[in-house]
Amino acid sequence: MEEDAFAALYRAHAAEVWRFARRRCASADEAADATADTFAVAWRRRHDLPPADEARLWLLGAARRVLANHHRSARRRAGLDERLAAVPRAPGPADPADLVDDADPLWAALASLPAHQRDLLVMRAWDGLAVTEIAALLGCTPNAASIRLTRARDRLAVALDRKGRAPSRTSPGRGPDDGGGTDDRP
Amino acid sequence: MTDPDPLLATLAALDPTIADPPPEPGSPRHRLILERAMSTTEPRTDSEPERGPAPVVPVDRRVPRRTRRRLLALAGGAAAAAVLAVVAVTVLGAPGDRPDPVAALTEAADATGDVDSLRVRGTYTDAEGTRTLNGEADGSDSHIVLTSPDGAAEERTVIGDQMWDDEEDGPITVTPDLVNAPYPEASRAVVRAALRGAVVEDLGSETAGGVEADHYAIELGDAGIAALGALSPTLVAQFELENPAGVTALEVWVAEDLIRRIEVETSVDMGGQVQVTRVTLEFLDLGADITIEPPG
Repeated sequence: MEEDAFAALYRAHAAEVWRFARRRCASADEAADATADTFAVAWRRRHDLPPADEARLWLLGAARRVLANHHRSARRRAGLDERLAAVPRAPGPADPADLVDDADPLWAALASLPAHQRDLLVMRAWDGLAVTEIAALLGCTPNAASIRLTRARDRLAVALDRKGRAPSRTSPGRGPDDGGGTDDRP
Repeated sequence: MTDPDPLLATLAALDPTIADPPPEPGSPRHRLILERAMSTTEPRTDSEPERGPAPVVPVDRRVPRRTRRRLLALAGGAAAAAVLAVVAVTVLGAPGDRPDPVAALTEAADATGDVDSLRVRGTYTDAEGTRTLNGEADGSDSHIVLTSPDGAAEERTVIGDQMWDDEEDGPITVTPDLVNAPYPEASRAVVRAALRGAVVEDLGSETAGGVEADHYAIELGDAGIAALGALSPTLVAQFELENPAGVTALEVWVAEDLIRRIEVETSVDMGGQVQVTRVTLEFLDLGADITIEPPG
């Protein structure tokens, strides 16, 4: 892939990769860093990138790994800072839990979930990924992704109910393996 | 994208990128990100997937079983061909001996959709193993037990708008759009959708659900795939048919004008590794007097 083609790839997917990163970062600057790092990976691998129709998921997968590395680095920095007690701790890893507005029950409910369940819900509700795409990113079967996503959604609904705000038109409806396009339920 | 699930749609409204959008194409920041990316000469790191996250590309529909069987028969030589011929005569019989497959399936789908109660047993098999299902349903009320390959069992009961499961202390409220459609209704919808533009093969008679049943294989056409894809998730979830383009086999057994068994095999290419899932649901005691009770 030559520079022009890569630039076209960037134009086609930069916004989505940036959004994917921003949803998992505390700031736009961090999202820009992660986006650049993601496309840096793609640039280095430009000769064996998947075809155009598969590039989007490839990039999101790379972004996920880049973000994981960023978060690990942040934790390492934080640990070093703790030991040195010299500089303020670096911002924590991006996580919806860190972005919570406690005044909003839905935010609070989302924050109360385990990280892996928040991640699933963010992939579905914010990234707009289909279950099969989530499965691809997680490296599991669509069925397994469905099960996990449904559990996460049900947990969110239960948490929301417990925080005193019934979700619009819904409730902790499906069983842990039940229902919907994100369903595994037999 | 607006998620059909109202809770997720509400959650979508909290997306931080609504208020904080990405850099505009052509803006200095947009260009800088690209320049930085292309300036890198670092070696590959563990951020880089060996071959990227598994792309979700439904594999080309595999050679239909019918074709595979025929190929095997040919490969087997004259003896196999002779056996196949005998089988073909048995299956196809004389004209008029067997009902038209599409008509038979359509009638059975409709009749099954009218069934109020049944018992169900099934298996869900994928690379992680086989989960077994045992359940019963009376209208929209249901009780199922799902057993994982490791033997762990999950139990769930739905009565009206109340649902009990193993993970909750008491019942929680459900709404119809959040629970799976009853098996009869789902079976009717799925089979009717699948029949659109399909090639149906009559595979003869065999026992299913304890009764002698007519066995049909539905080879999905584009119209059927589209129709299945348009069905509500609550109708297809029981059969794991969310990805109808990945269906490699869809077979139905009919006895006494009722569907007795549905088997679905799907195959998805997970980045070079094909993941196959097979769902078999068998319906028993259709129309029996079944009452779902709250868990003790």
